[in-house]
Amino acid sequence: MPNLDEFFQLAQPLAHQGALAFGVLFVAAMLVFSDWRLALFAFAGVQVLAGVLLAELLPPEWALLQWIVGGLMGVMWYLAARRVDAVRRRQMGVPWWRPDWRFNPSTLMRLALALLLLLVLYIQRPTPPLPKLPADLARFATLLALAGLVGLGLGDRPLRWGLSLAMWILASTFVIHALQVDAATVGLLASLQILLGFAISYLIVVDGARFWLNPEDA
Amino acid sequence: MSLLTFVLLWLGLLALVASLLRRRSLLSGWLVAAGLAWLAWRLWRAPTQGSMEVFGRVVDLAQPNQLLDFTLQLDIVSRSPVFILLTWGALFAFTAGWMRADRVLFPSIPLILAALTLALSSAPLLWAPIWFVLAAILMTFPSQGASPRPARAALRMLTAPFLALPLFLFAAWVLKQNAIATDDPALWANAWRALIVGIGLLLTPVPLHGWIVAQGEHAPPYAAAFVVGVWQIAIYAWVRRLLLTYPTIGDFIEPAQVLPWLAVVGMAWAAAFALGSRRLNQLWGYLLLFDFAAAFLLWSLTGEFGVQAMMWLLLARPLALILTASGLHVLQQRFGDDIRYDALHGATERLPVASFSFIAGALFLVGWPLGPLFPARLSAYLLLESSQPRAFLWALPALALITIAAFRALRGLTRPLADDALLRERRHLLWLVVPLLATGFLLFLNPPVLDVITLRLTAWLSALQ
Repeated sequence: MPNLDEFFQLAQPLAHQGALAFGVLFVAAMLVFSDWRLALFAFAGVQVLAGVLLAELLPPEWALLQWIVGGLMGVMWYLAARRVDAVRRRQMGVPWWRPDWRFNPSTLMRLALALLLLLVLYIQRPTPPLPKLPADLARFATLLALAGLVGLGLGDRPLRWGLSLAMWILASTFVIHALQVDAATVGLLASLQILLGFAISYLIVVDGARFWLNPEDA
Repeated sequence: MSLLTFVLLWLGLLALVASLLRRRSLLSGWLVAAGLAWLAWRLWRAPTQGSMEVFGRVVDLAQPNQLLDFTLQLDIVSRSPVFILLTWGALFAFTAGWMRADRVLFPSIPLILAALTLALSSAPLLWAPIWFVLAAILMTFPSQGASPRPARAALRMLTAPFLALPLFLFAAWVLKQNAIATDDPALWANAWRALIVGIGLLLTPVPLHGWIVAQGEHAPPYAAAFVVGVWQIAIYAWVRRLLLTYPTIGDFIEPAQVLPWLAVVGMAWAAAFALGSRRLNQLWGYLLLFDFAAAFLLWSLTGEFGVQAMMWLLLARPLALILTASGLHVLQQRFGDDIRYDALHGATERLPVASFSFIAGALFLVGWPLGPLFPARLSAYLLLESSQPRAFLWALPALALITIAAFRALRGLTRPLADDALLRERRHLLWLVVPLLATGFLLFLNPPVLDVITLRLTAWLSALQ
């Protein structure tokens, strides 16, 4: 088994080469898929990628904190969404394994916006002059920030809203940690993400429970 | 023990007790109200420096708290907005308890006030948005309420503080290092721009106002009014301090010129959409937006008169907000959470006090005579007319349109009774509405009655200058 430093030596070149490509893939999946399981899977992918990339700005132990924070948020959202979805599926008689595809105008709009975002990124390749941030990380952070903003414009479902705000905070984590690396900043940003995760998981349940036969069970 | 520690401990204790008693709305609400009123009273009586004694313990008024690399101190400047926040909390907890409102509100009030107190006590100042984010997260709980409902209000509440936070952190890092001003002037200028955009996001003017309307439409009425109101109070006090601490912001933007236009655009937007409302909650949302935007008019006044006028407005505003929210709360209990005008059969017949309370509150929020906000609104319009006549011309139709919107709602409320099973309202609303109307009328007749309070609050808030 490689130790932490060896793991980062192996993973970082791979992550750098594929940062934007994997980022685009995961972000597009997060924005487009209606199924919460696929969206959360893509979220986990972004968090893993971000953790590896952050190791360029932070000591490895602190960079991996992003994995822990992202993991905690993911678990909270998974449990909340699963609870809502399990009751809904039981009511509608839908088996758990069937993906929740919803090809309605909303899906098409999300798809169109995600494609537009990809097109803009491909043509413009924006690299905003973020101080002290290497160009590839700046491009990755820009992608996350834009994806967050696009996601916020895609409706009022708590999980998507949470994913979008998490993308925005993750993007800002790169910008802030390029400027200052201290335990207080790392800890505060991580705490805020966990608090966001907590609030969103509560909202996933109380928003979804209004479609239950007995909403008060929430 | 520092003053901040004492305030936070007390608020935490109140939240804990309210949480344990949350199923008994009246007891929980009144307990929180009594606790907050007592705390406000202790702050009012506390000397400006030195120490005071509480429950046999000495509270050092000048002692700061250290948290990681940050300093937190509830100084004399912060004491003024914290006093107003506590007053709001006490009034809302009392009335919401009396009206058996949503139980989530009672433990949330002290917690939200604690987060806002931390934001107002934060140093360095540019790190305060972290506490605003915490406050916004706490505000999602009363906005969502105890029963399942669309999460739109709660979600939109989170947006502005989260979007603004990185801009402030970026500005904080750049502005901390004076050498950058000469080494990299572009970065220095960008930091100031980031700061201004961040402030703009926290002020949530049109078109970033979606959370206010969503609060009105989807959140329980008392929670909506409380959350929107205390957010504006905290942001007002914090931005004012920011402008005094960083006067360079004035090189990029002139608040006295911008704020009236933010106000007028917000008022016009609210009025136009209120006129098109078909549901009472929608109208309530746009009334909140109108009230929120109209406060920017007094905010734009500089100097001690401006601060005192703003303090007066912030102290009188809960009367009109609670009046409207109480009426809507009772109407929602009978007609459901989402009330269409065409479904309001027999409202004035069976729920006359609630209907009157909603319409009177709406007109008083707009600033019509006999209500508590009339003196503040009138002076704001007169000053606007003399300072920015073009903006004033926009404000007048907005005022007319939102008044027409209120009368449209009145027409809906006066529809004849269709269902004999519609229950009459309970009399306890009357016991709330009459004192609110009487107090509002007193403020209308004699605005200087609040001078005792506003003068001291102004002196506290101006201690920085």
